[in-house]
Amino acid sequence: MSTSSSSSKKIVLKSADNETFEIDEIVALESQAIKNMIEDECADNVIPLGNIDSKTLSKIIEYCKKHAESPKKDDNADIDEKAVEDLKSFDAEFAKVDMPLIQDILMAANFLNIDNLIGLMCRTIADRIKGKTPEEIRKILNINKNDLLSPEQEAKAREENSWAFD
Amino acid sequence: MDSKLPNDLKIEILSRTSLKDLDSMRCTSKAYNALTYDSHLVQKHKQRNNIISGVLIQHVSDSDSPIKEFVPSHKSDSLDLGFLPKDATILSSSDQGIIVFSREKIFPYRYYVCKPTTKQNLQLPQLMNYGHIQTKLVAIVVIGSKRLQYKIARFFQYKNMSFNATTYYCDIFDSRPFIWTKHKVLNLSSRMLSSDPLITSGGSVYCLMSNSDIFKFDAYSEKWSKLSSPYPMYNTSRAYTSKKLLKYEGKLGLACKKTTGFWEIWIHTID
Repeated sequence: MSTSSSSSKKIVLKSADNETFEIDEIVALESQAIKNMIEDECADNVIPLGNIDSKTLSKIIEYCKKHAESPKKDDNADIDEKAVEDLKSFDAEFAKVDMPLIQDILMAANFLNIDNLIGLMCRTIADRIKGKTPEEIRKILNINKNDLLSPEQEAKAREENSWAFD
Repeated sequence: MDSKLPNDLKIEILSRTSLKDLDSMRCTSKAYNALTYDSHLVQKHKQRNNIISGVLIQHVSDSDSPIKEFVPSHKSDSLDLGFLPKDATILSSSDQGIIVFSREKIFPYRYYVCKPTTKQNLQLPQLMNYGHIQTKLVAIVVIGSKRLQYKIARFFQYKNMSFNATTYYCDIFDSRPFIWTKHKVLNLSSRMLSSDPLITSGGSVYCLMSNSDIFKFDAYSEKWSKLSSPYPMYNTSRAYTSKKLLKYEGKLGLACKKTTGFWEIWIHTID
């Protein structure tokens, strides 16, 4: 390693509840939004993130750290499979949180423009509703009970089959 | 809590689900029901899941081998229909990508069910009525997908009946138990306009009739009924030069072209 973490440039992120997180710039660059801010030189020493709480932000930093450390696919054609596997199992573990936090992370990842994390969270939600009945999905996603279809509408919706063969 | 996700993120999530799960999502709430028909979602879902979509076009000429073509929709792969027998005439298709065709040169006269994406063909049992009859309308409706189940309704008239006859007969094929059942008699009091493709929505088939009413056949209950046309059309039918049934966000729609050249779309809603 030619650069040690102690000598690399630091970025400070401030959550909605005023907690500050000092991270390496390389970690912050995982966010396309922050990357653009830095490149446009409109990032101060402290970047305030008024719509992300500290619980969500620390999860996001955990994700970005891991992904910043991992070798990028397009850097090197023969990155060892172990690193890929390692990242996969990290992602799987990372996603084992409750639905409200997943949705918070998804919203924040969308705001910070972290493509891989948006994909991971969307896949996680899609996996959790896989094969479930409408009733189960309503519970999982905590769907607003004031927005239910009328019994007639629901009966009709159930008769819409968009797929045919397995 | 769920409602805090903006629609573009919900679309990102739904585009990663299977068609089966999308069917379930459709039943969960009004907002999700509408979202499953959103054109951005439909487009994204097709691309992500490599779903082939498009339009079947059949050119029927006097010769007994109609030209059949598949025109893929934007960014969809195409489909080669060359595997269909030359003498095949497509009679009906379902939104799920199953088609029904018949063959002119093979006796006894049968229908075939086919899934073009996998080139699977299935020969159905012999028809109950043929020879002195004229098939007016064929509809295929998928009524169960946990295990595939479909029904085919075939509406026909006898050849010796007058052109204006409004009595129709109907044979129904049920894929479970894989048999045709005997015809029902339908006294409709006006003629079916069977030249346009049928519309299938919510398990029912719809067809325009000569008096501007809409014929409805429920494939589940096998009962038929009529919907009267939307009020203004009934009142000022001359104000419209053309009308077509269509499917709009999963619901039955009626598009009417006014003499001014503009189209109006009427949507059939429940409550």
